Amino acid sequence: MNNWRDQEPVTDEDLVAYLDGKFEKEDTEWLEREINMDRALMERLELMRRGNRSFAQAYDLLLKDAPNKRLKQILKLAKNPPPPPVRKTQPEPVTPMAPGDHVHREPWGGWPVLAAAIVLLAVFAGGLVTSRFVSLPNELPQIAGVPVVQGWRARVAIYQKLFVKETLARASQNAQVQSANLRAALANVGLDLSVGSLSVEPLDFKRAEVLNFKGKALVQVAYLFEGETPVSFCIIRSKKPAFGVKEEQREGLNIAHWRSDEYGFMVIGDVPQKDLNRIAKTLKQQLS
Amino acid sequence: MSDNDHEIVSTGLAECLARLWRYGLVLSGNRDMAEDLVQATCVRALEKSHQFQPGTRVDRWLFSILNSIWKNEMRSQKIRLGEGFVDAEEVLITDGAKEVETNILARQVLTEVQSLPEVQRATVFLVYAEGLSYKEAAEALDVPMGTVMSRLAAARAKLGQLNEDAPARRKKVDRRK
Repeated sequence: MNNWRDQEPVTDEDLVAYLDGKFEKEDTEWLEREINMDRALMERLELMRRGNRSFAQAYDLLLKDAPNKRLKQILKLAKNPPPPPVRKTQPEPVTPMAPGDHVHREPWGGWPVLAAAIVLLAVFAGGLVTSRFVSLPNELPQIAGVPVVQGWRARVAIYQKLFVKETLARASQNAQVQSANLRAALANVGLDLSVGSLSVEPLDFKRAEVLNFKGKALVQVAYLFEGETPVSFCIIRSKKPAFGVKEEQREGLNIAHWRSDEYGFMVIGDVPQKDLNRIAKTLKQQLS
Repeated sequence: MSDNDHEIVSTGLAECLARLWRYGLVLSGNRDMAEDLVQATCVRALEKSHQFQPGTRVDRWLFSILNSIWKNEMRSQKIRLGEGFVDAEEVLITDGAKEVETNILARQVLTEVQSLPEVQRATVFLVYAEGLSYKEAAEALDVPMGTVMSRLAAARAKLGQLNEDAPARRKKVDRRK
């Protein structure tokens, strides 16, 4: 801090360094003389002094709010990362079936389901969500090397198919935690809604997650239907034309979906279609 | 990789987790992203533990890693997601910092600092809350020391003006006038 004597004019940086006690004694004495002779400089120094705050004290309070248990789990996982999943790099060649051949289908559902399972494990490993922005399964089934085009509802259906009651058993039932969880997730799609505004009988809110669909944030709000069956309400930004509630079936699950001017919505689960339609219409009404 | 370096970094991480999370929160304004920043910092620091220089402070080194991850990787993700940067009122206070809610002075300070541009509040945090020297802050932020001083001066001027009725004054003063 000893070149400033040669600088013209004295800067705010000099004054702050002086206030922060960064000057040598000789320079300090010289600057103080200058300040005493220059009213404008003195006023500027006073402004810088008023710009001081109890920064450390204020920020120390935030330390007490740190999620220490989760942070320790994060470090533990970083030290002992799970082995990378084994991925199939080349699709199996598709050959014509000979008479008498049987269709071989892996009992666990094939690669799309495995990919979804890997995502699920990443999300729920040890009860720790290591990243809020989880990618939906990207391993598309291929036929003779041509990828099958899948939309967001198809991807969600693959993921949702893996849900069981126990998947949501560890979700917090604390109202504050649920509210913070929902708000943080919805912020990714530019929405700010309360748990109450997304409540529909007989759904019981469990948690919200942010998923990644082709680089876009997709929010999944997970519920239990009558305390037993997982049902998800999903939201994604969409600029396609709006339409009312429609129904469809994917992966053996029922879906009710609709679009507003800005968003695509869907409700999905292994529950009767008429119930999903009613839930969808209620949510649509509550969001409008 | 030296086992000793790895051990120093591993121990340093364990001791600094809450402080790293707090810095992530200051930068991102988002509690979830703060956790993601800690996660990425842990992974990166353990990977690069051989680059840690024994005899230097491991917390400073970790801050520089977290800052680099934020600046080069996660900041753009946040902007891409359209979240923008929100104020302390929304992030540091209503989103769970219960003790802050009950401390009016702390709340005011955090709100004021959060209103500063990101680079200024990061600098203010490192120097005035974490106690880094100007030189250490410059290394953590990967900027010249003069930039650290400029950011502090700009932040102090802005905060000083918050309590001032007079119009904003000129930045530089000619002492010979």
